[in-house]
Amino acid sequence: MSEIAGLGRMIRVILRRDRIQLPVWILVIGLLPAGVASAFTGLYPTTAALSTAAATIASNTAFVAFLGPIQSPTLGGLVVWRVGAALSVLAGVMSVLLITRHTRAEEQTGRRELIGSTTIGRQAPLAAAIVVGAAANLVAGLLIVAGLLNAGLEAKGAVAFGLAITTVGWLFTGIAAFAAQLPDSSRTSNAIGMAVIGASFVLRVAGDAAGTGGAGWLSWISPIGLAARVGAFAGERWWPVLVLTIVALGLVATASAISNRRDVGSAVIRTGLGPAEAVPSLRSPWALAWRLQRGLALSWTVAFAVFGLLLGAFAEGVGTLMEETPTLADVIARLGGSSIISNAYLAAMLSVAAGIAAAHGVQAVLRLHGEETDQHAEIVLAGAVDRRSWVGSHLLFGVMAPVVDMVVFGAAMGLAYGISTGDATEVLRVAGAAMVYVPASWVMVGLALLVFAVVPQRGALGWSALGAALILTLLGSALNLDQWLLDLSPFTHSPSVPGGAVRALPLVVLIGLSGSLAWSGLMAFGHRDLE
Amino acid sequence: MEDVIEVRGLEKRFGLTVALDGLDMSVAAGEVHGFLGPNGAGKSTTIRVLLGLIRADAGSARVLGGDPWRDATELHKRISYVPGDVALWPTLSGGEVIDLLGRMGGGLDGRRKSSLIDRFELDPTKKCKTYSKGNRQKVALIAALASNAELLILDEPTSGLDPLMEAEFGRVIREDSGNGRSVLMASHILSEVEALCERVSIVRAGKIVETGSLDDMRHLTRTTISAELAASPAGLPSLEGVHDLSVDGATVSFQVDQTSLDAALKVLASAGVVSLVSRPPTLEELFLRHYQEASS
Repeated sequence: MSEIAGLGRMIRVILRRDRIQLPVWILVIGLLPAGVASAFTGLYPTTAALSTAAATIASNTAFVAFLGPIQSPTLGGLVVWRVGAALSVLAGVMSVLLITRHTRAEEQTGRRELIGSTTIGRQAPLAAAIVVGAAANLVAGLLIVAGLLNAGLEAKGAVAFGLAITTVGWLFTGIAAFAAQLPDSSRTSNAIGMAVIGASFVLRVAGDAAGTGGAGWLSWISPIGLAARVGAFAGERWWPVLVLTIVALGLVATASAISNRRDVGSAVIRTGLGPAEAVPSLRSPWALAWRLQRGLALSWTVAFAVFGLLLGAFAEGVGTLMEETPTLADVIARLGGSSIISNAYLAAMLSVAAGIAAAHGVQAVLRLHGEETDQHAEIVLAGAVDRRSWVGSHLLFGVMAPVVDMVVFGAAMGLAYGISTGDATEVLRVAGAAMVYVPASWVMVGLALLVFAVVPQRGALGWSALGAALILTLLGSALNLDQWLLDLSPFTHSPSVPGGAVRALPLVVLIGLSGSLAWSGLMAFGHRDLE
Repeated sequence: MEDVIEVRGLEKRFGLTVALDGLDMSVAAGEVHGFLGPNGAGKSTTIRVLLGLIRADAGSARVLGGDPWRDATELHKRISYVPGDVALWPTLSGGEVIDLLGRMGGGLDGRRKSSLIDRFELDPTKKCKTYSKGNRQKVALIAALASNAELLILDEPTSGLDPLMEAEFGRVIREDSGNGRSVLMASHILSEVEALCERVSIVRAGKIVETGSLDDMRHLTRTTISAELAASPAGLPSLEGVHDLSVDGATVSFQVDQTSLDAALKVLASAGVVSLVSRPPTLEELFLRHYQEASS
């Protein structure tokens, strides 16, 4: 057991370092279901109202594709349907960031080496991170159960839902522990973890959009899809909980086996040599920013292209599936035909993609914060580099990221949809619609820049702002929040296209706002001390 | 000769901490100027003001005739800087960083760069994340020393270097100063400063407490004397300006202020001198005296 000597002390170190952010994550995940339950109780006070709501939702396959099928037309069933996918993603993101922060990032900064020289055992830091990750997901699950019981829902379903979220969180904890062994940078470890979460979400959407036919199995190989198969409040099944737990344990065992064999600070993917001289073009902050951002930009672009193709391929099925259902044919006809449903589906996917593209934008612009805390900014600005050029060099990527991501995603979705309907113009139509979502992402980029410029010690707050905006937009209506609160999120103001009407005013306001935020940030940085 | 750095009454606070408290300093063109002080005395803060990375709360600073904050970009074409804690981009190779830093500054002398890479025995193809602290230091030093800059600002330039590389660094600085390049070198390695610098400024708690050439400073301070005498040196203990006196039979050793040197030698001579060794104070003794005075 000397391998994990000092486990308790390492756990206390992690809890001390994360004493603010971990409770925030756990509370958001743990209390959301109860919040949505109470909102739904107000909206649909009777069993009849609940059934009607469920039937209406079930008839909209765009909704079904996005959030999965409603498994039971009861209060519990509706709550699980509404927040299940979102909570799975949140638990995944919490776990990946937590594990990477306390494993690979510690090795990269050299702190792990210091720990290794003490009486702490070789495996204790990794074990401590996994224990805290597992416990955080468990506590979040317990809060979910408590909240749902408090809302008057039956115990069996509440426990099943809590377990589903806890175990899907465990699975992503295992993924992150494994990912932390592969590269020698925490940035890449995080990227691997996030890519797996993204793929899980997209596979579930694709599988559910395909329905029970052909590609429905896609949803089954997705951890998020698997968690939904628990069917809380709808004839609970316990085997997915078991599968998720076993896979998580397998991942943890693999990670610790690798970690036990490798040197501290080393990686499975090795670092090669570089050129002895810089290429002639590497001569300005702009070229440096391109060099630092290009790998990130390329991976995001590829991910958006792949996910776009996958999601677009099912857009047509979403509409026609419903026309074939006799009872729904009327509803569809009244709504204006199956293209309405396909459009609603495309719009829903674009709005989610816009939030993720904003994350790329914020990540790109907050590279400034990373460069400053890593003390790279100091040697750049000690050169003949204007402060505005340095900020501008990374801001450019923050501004371009959502544009490129959304155009690629829209074009890919349009291409796949166009192939299935035989209409090549869909590429342009959907890519054009995707552009409409960009200004809202820009607001988050501009805000992140301003925060970095004005409060450098709290530079990462741009991420918190993005998280809050996304939760408001994606779950705010389910929580029955006041409209003014929802209006705080720029994403609320994006027109719903394709299908919906585009009004110029919100877009003009969003563009103006993001422009002034970025401009103020640029000016403010010119006047402040470098940290 | 004109001063390349001229600082008057510089003040800088970080919250409640006073980092600079009315600091005055000047560095003449073509000189190698040592900037001495222990950790936290304000060396790096001064340097960051001189580079326009932070702005002073009060006082004035001129670097190469310009305002370091307002004219930062223009001035930086003529200045090269090596930070105290060299952090480089993990995914770039050492060679790429040297070229990039040179090009973002005032340009690089390619032949000099190759010769420095050889002299410092750096492998420029390695990625920065695989370099040790000493090798990262070499990357920053080569970029600065191979530049065409008129002024080098070096913060603890030899930290992490092995003794062989430290000696090599000394040789390069002496060559440079022969070519008219000005150097401001912050350090707390006194032997290095003593070997390389013509003038020195000693900083304590954000203020310069002593500045001048090493020769001047030595004249103003105590000389260490050890002597073997024929008889006991009567009156030496009561002589003003004699410090740390130790008498062991006929052997005495003490430090004496420059103003009392003549009187002390007369006392020794009257006791009969068998042998005598006189040694000027080392920089270390100068330095420690300033700091011990402060703490006592």
